[in-house]
Order: sequence, then structure tokens, then C-alpha cells
Amino acid sequence: MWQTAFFNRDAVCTLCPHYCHLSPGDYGKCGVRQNIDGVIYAINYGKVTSLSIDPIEKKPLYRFQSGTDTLSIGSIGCNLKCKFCQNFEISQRNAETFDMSPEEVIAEAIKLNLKTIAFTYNEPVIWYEFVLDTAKLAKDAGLFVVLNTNGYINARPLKVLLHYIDAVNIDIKSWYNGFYKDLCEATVKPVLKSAIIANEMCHVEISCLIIEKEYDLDDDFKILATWIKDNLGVNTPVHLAAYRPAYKMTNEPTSIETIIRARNIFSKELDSVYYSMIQQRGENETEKEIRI
Amino acid sequence: MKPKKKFVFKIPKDGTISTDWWNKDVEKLIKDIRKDGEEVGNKCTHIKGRKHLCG
Repeated sequence: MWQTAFFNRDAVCTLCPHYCHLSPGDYGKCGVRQNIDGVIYAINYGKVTSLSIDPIEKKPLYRFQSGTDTLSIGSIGCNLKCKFCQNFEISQRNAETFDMSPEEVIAEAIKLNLKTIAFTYNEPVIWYEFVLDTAKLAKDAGLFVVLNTNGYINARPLKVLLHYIDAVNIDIKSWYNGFYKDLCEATVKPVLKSAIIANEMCHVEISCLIIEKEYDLDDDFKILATWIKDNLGVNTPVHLAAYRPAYKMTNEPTSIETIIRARNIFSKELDSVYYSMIQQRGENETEKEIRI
Repeated sequence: MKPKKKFVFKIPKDGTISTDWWNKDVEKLIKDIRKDGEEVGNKCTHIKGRKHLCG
């Protein structure tokens, strides 16, 4: 799905804003969509890296089916290259997988008496065909489907997919294009556009990453909070996620003080602002915790 | 009063950083979120594949 064919069996993947131009044998930036003889295939179709039962609040979704558990499922690959990726073992590398069909995912959810299937852990957008097939079956079975996504997808495929999706958590990592370019090899505009589209079609919650020295000024928070209020609504739940070192980024973890400052600024514009990943760990292995 | 230790992060030889301790933290967080005080963090039940994933 979602490709434009060219001569010599070249093809452009039109699923996400990278528009990867692929010759036969080439992989897209996501690492999982390959041109095979002029047709782009998702080679991660049915390939699962992790299957778990998680509370829906872990996605994080606090205002959708709260208090229930989800069948959480993830594959491999991602179309962003975030230097701070928390799940780099599956998003930026080849990881061990096992096979599942959409029917088997639905059967597992029913067997475990779970009402919601969550596509999470890696980026569900680049698992598009499998997510779509499973979501269609889930609707037939009366199940909810939620996504935890970076929002880096083109409008048309997103709208098709959202017909079968009940709730989405979109990760807006920063307001600034420079941040996305330098740290994620992407751009911010498509993410914002996806948030607006999703907000028109299903329940949306937003995650905002706070990284000190990269994205931690009062004005940074105010601009993003105002944008969310103006474009998604004052009631949109926002989860402020504290950065902590992972993958290729070694900045100090975001302090609790910075998260509290961010929450105070976001709360002036928005009704529902939460903390996420708020604990801090230092050299002496001690941890601090604050309550929501 | 003890001087505050500066955060020092040690990078493993392969240049990457483990996040194995993440789930422990999020389970505490979830426990706080649920109003009934139920220890739902312990309900993160791994079925198959890779453990300790964020999200």
C-alpha cells in the first residue's frame, strides 16, 4: 500500500513524509519497508517483538477506558531516528521476532478477556498494513484499538487507518523543526498535522518530551501549550515525559524541578497536564519520586 | 550536609544505554495514578518476546 511506481521498478513510499525513493532491494528509512521487484512490502508484517498485558495508563492514555488493561503489541523499526529512543533495541535494530496473524492477535485478546488492543513499543505507522488488518478485525469483534505513535505519517494513510482506531497518544517531542531535524532526522509539521487530523476522528492525548538544554525554556512550553489549546482543545490531556539517557544521548536526566516548571506553564493553558517518567536516578543509585 | 553528587553517566562499551530499569519506575507511577490504590503496576504481564519496553 501507499506507493508511487516509477520506471526501472523504482518506487516512492508515500506512507510517511520521508517519501523514500527505493530501487529494487532498497529499504526505506524505517528499515522495514522494502522495494521487492517494484512493489514496496512491509517486511515486518506479522513480526512481533513483544506481547504484554499493560494498564492503559502506561501508553499513556488516562482518559480512555481508564482502569482497564490492554493487549499491547509491538514490532520492529521506526521512521524517526531519535538519539534518545527508549526502545532502540527494537526500533533501531534488528530484534528477535515471532510470528502472529491478525486473527491470532484478536483471539489472544478475547482469550485474555481484554477489551483493548494497543499498538505500541515501536512505531505502529510503519507496521501499517498489519495494524490496519488487525484493527478491522478488532472492530468486528467489538474491541477497542489504540495507537502510541510519533505521528509522522501522511494525511491520507492516517485518515484511512483512523477509521478503525478509537484512541491515539501522539508524541510531540518538540515545537521546533531544528530539534526534529537534529535529533530525530524528521520535521515537526507533519506531526502537528497528524494531531489535528486524529483529534477530529478519535480520542487524542499528547505526550511532550522535556529535555534540558534542548527543549526546556518557559517560552518553549508556552508556545506548545498554546498550540495544543488552540488546535486540539483546552481539555486535551497532555503527558509531560522527562527525558532520561538512552541509546545515543547522554545528557543528564531531566530534573523534577524542570518538569514541575513545565507543568505549571502548561497548566495555565490546558486543563489536564500530567507527569510521566518522573523519577531521577543518579550516580549513587538513589531515586526521588513525586506524586501526581 | 553532604554535597550533592553530580550525575555521571557511564556509557557501555557498545555505545548504547540499557533501559532495563524503566519498567520498575513506570509500575510505581501507574500505582499512583489509579485512585483505588490497587497495585496495578504489578499487572504488567509479559506474555512473549522482549521485556522492559517503554510505551
